[in-house]
Amino acid sequence: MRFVKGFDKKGVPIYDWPKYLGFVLSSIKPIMRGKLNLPRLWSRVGSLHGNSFSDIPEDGASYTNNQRAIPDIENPEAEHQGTSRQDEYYFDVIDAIASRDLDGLNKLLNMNGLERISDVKMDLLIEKYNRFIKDAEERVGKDINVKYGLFGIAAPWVKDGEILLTGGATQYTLPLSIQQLIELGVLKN
Amino acid sequence: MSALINIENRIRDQSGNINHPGIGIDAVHDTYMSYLRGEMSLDTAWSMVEIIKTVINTQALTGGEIKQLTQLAAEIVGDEELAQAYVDEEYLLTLKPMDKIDSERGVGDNEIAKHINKMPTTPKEYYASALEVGKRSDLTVEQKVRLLQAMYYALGEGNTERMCVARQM
Repeated sequence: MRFVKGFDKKGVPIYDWPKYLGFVLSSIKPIMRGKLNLPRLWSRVGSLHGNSFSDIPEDGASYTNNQRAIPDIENPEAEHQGTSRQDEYYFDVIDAIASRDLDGLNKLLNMNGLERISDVKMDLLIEKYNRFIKDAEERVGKDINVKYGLFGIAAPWVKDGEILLTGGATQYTLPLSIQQLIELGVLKN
Repeated sequence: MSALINIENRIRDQSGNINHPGIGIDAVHDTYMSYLRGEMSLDTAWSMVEIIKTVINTQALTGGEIKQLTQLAAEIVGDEELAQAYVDEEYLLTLKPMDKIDSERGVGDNEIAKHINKMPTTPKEYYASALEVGKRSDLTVEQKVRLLQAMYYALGEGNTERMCVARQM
């Protein structure tokens, strides 16, 4: 078995993902305020409920699944593209969620013309955020600051010494899903 | 075909009744001739195999005759392992033909897969059916993935919006 190691009770395939959240470990850099922001243009293959994407290279051609180390049949119809805010807004949103500051988050949303969120929705964001932080620290180590997510190079997918996917694309892995970040006004699809 | 004729003759002889219906050999004659002329599709070939399976299921056959018919089925579908699995009432999904689905992506190969699971016509149908495939306990992980690939390719280009399916084993 190369990519799929089983199916869960709902019938969903379980992939045998590489270690380190799919990054080349030495390439990982923390996304940080004032140092490394989200890319202006992003591209994701698959559901918007995932939390990883690539940037779009300057020549405008998206990375292939092979470069992204995504073990799926190449399907241009599965790609989403969009833009990211290039100011400090993303960091402000994450800070509010990380500090469980619902009022602060709603002020940010209000200032940006977006609807307030409920405390129930805030709980979901906090739960998702905390789960990511725990998982990311376990996978890449606590020496890397994972608070705002990670940037790096997609690792090759190697099985039993054989390179199945080359990797090499850029990869951004964030604490919240693409869909959540769209709803919070950080990303546009 | 000669195997079928011989079997029908034996059953008729043993019955002592010249008007015994035998195993309905006339019904498959035309199909078989089409097969010999290379005129029939894989789907029709499968109908032949189903007829052979029906004959075997009469339980009127000797072990040698079942073996003969299994070989005939293998000749028709071009895959001995697949024919044996079918005759044994195992599922038709075997790695060998499913490999073809992945590597060749031919319509004919999906014709094989559709005997194991209905092929979807829309992404919505695909997702509903894919979860059922994922839950099946009679298939291996590899077989499930092959089947999902066949279902995906059955949708065709322009009909796979937002769909992600594992690329290979």
